[in-house]
Amino acid sequence: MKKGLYATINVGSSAVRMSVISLKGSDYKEIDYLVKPLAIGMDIFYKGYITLENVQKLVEIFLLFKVKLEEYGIANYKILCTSEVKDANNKDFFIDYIRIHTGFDLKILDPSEEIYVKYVGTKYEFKEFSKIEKGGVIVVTIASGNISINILKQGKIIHSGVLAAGTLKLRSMFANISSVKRYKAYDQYINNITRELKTITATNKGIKSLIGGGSSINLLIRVFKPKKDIIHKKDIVELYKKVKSYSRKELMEDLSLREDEAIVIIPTLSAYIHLLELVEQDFLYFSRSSFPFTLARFYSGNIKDRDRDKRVKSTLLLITKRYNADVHHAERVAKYALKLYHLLEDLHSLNSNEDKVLESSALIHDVGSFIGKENIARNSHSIISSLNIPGLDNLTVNFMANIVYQMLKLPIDDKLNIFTECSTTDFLVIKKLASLLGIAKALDISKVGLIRDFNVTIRYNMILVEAFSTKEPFLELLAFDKQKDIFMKTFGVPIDIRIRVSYE
Amino acid sequence: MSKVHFNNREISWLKFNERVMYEAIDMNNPIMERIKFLAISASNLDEFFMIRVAGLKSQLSLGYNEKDMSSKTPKEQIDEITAYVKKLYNEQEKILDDIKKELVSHNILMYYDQDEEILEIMENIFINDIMPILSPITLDPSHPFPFIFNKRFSMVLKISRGSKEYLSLIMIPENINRVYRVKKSNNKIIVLKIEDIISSNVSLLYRGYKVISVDHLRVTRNADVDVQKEEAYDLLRSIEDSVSRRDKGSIARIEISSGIDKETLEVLKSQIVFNDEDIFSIDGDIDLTYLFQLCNLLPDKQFKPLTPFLIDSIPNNKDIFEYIKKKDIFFIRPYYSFSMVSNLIAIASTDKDVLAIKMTLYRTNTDSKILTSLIEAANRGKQVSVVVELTARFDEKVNITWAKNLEQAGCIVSYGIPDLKVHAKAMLIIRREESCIKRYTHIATGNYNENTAMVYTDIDLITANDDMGKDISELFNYLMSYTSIHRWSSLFIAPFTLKSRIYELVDTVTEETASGQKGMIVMKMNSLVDKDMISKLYKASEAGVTVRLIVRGICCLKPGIKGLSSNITVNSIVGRFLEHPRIFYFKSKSLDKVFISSADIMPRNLNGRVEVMAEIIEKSCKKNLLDYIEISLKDNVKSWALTDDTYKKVTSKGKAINSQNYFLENRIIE
Repeated sequence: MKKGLYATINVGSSAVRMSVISLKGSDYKEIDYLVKPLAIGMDIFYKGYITLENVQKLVEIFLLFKVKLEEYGIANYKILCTSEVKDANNKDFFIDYIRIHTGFDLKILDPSEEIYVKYVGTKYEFKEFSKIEKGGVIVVTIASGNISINILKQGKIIHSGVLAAGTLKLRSMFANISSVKRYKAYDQYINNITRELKTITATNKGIKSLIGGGSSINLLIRVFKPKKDIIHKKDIVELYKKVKSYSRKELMEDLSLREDEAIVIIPTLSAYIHLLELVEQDFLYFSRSSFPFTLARFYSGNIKDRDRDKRVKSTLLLITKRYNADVHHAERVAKYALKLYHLLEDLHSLNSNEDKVLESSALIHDVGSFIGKENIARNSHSIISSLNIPGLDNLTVNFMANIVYQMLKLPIDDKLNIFTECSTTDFLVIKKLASLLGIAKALDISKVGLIRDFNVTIRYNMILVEAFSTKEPFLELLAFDKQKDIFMKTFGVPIDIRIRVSYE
Repeated sequence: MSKVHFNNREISWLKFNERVMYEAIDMNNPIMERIKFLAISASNLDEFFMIRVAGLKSQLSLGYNEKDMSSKTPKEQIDEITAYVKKLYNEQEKILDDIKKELVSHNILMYYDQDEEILEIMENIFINDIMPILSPITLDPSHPFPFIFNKRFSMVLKISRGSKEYLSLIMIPENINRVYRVKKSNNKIIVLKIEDIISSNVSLLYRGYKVISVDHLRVTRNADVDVQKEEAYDLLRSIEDSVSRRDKGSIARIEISSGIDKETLEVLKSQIVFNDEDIFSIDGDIDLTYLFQLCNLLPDKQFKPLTPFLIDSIPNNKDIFEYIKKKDIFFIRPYYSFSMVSNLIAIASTDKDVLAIKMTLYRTNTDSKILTSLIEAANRGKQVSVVVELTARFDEKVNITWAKNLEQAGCIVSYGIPDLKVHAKAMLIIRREESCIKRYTHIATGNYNENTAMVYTDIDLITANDDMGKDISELFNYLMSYTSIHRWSSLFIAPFTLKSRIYELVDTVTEETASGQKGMIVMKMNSLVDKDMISKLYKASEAGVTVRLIVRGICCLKPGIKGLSSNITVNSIVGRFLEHPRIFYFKSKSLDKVFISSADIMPRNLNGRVEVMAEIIEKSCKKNLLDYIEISLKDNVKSWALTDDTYKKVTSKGKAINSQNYFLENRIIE
């Protein structure tokens, strides 16, 4: 969208927020921002579902926000729920009820999508990001429901994850502990969940900066009133020492906080102190932009991760490496798969975006071998489908898991019910991509790059792969033979291979 | 130097009302206007008793005995008020007497001989118009004492039949004129008061009875709790929990003929339930608000009709939006026409690019052109939102009617925030321009009322400034409950940021002046009551800041006291128009800012109302506003100077400057 108004409504754990932005080329401006507190996070954390009372309150809020959409005549908007809603037992009822009573279609954000949008938003909205990113930075968004973390160094995302330690979530977990010692529980829990990050920062020396975002930053801004876009650790520690055992009422009175802010201030301070200790830094940077504003910019196309494909590729290779798979093999399979895809476009008739899915699947296809050769298809499926890959939404990641599964599976696995959620069309796409991936994989089955390149010719309704190899690739030929049938069943066209050995 | 650093707000208000009353003796005012000033001061006093005195009496009855900022207990304040009001009554009577005498030369007779002709006229009026609607109640065991309504003029009669005496009561119905104007054949107009008509024909009412005495009575009761809660914010906050338990409609004042006999008075005291302290014995006429019915008797003896200026360059079509983008529209009512606002709304209501119009509605007129335009806009599919303040003092009925009309037309009507009166005057026009949004904002110190816009002086600003537009949009989001969290960047909103900002500005001027720079604070407002602000101004004064205040009404600050406020001057302008704008100007080394606001510097405005304060940024507008202040400060005709707690009319040997007349005759804005 290049010109006009765009709005996002974000249903977070503790509030519903709406941001309206005005776009004119690359210029953008937030023209309205609304916040209505609604603690659906509490419902989910305590009860496992969203209470009808809060569903109805949300309807009321949405109807108010709808008036605002009408006020500006906005046709382009998106309504997104925090990823915590995924954990609500009644999420389907919730979405349906909202649709019936407001006409709004709610989309639940994937954790990976959420974290990725936050990353892109920070990159755009934080002036010194490129400089800081070079030296290594943790971009953290402490929200009511979770803490999302991206660790970046020299342009690469070296870690990306969501910690189940949102401030409201922590408060509800330890609600039964007296306020006098509740802070100790927060400290222990946050210390525990940041342990993994300690390993990452230790192995990637030089991660020295912290950028904060999310509703927690608004709270810190209110408390510390920083004039520049930094908050000092000493101020956070000083305040934490003073108020850590305060009751909610004392916090409200002493810090002039609203009740919803008083509930989360202690875990917020604790989390930032731990993270600042992790990066051994005296201050944190922050962006004043709200998440709905970032969402509005992102989904209106006002901000884009220009290096997204490059970044996704490097993240996938990092994952492959983390699972002890052969990175070079993965790169070769990806290269062959893409070449097949483009050379056989007339045959498969897939749309132009599927090549990225195929490439991504190829880069990550071997992660299941980390567990063992037994059940490799299922293991790969499990690992891939559980990944949060910034820049790829959950649907795409599941698609990739299914392609890899379909490519690696043994006939006996056909009985498995992995594809129950797939439509026939999707299943067909998965089968086509899996077949192409199978051929690409076969061309480097020995993982040593015997086949350097290949051509494809289509003659007499038959596909012939002419492969150039340094020596005779017996294993590759064997593997190719196994894939031929699958290819034939998928595309209805036979495929064969001819090796041209060139000697150096 | 006085030990107490603050003037009592009640006495200060009474002094303001006294200044209004003295307009009735200013021979430069036409006679009809002088009568009107007398009526206004009487009407003001009624309200004062219904709200302020009633509030103090509530404190007293509940045993609250804390001293106020002038170091007086409720009892001491009531005593002082009573003494002061008695003095005012005497003055009022003298002034009315003089006016009555003067009216003779204009062929209007308020004193007259009850000759045959007059008596006959009076009898006719009585029989035809009055008697059919009177319901005298003569007290006996089967006719107990009736409830006497608030401000209802009544007559108390002692009558007898045989040896038995009775007390009888006539409450004059609300829907009857207090005076009848009779034009005699010699072109003289005789003004007959209803009480005189009834008195001369009372035997027709009480057939078979002998009328022993006829006295007049008027009861003033406290106002509705809701009205009182807001207007007596300071008094009732201290006894908040008890307010609901307080007797509704308890007595605040009893005005009674001075000649009433003791026995009758005792009966009234026991039946109506009041004390000696509540009684005000009146020698002359009770309830001078009847004079409102006389002030149009001689149209050529009124102020000349007002012809407000227009700013000619402002387009009267949708080009106005382009105009505003280039230049703010800034003007001062009533010297400039409020129709510039009405027209803008009318243009917006039919402009296809306007998406939405929002406004606050505090007090408006029944035939409001603005609201007609809003309904038109809603009918044309624009989103129209109106935040109605239903409890605007004594204007509830008008506002409820309009709120209903607006709702029926499809406007979104909201009733603001519980416990916060929406006193801000703001309007927002949202327009689609080149696929984006442009906001046009109107901020004023006065209401959207085309009638009072001809009588009150006020400031209006119409701007396309994005920051102000965003802040006003945010204000409406808050008022209409679209959001619970608000962020204002360019405007200052009570009860959130206005008070702290204005304190901060005073502090900055004080600090910079204390460090050797020149500093000046000029503030124009209706009332100055906030103790912290007054203390800050004292501090500023002693730091060397020149503080010039124009406070029309209550001023609890004591100016001109050595060691406390020697650098502070306070003036009060009382004239043809009711001075109403709030303007705050701060000048020091780092500051040169002037603001307009809907808020007075009173705790109720700063803490208990939604108010707006906006900086006048555009150079030409700022200059116009500073010129306005400068001329107002120079007023030496309608201005009163306060020293300590005493007001004296400003006199000057130099050129006489009546600021209101100056603005009527000179365009200070082009």
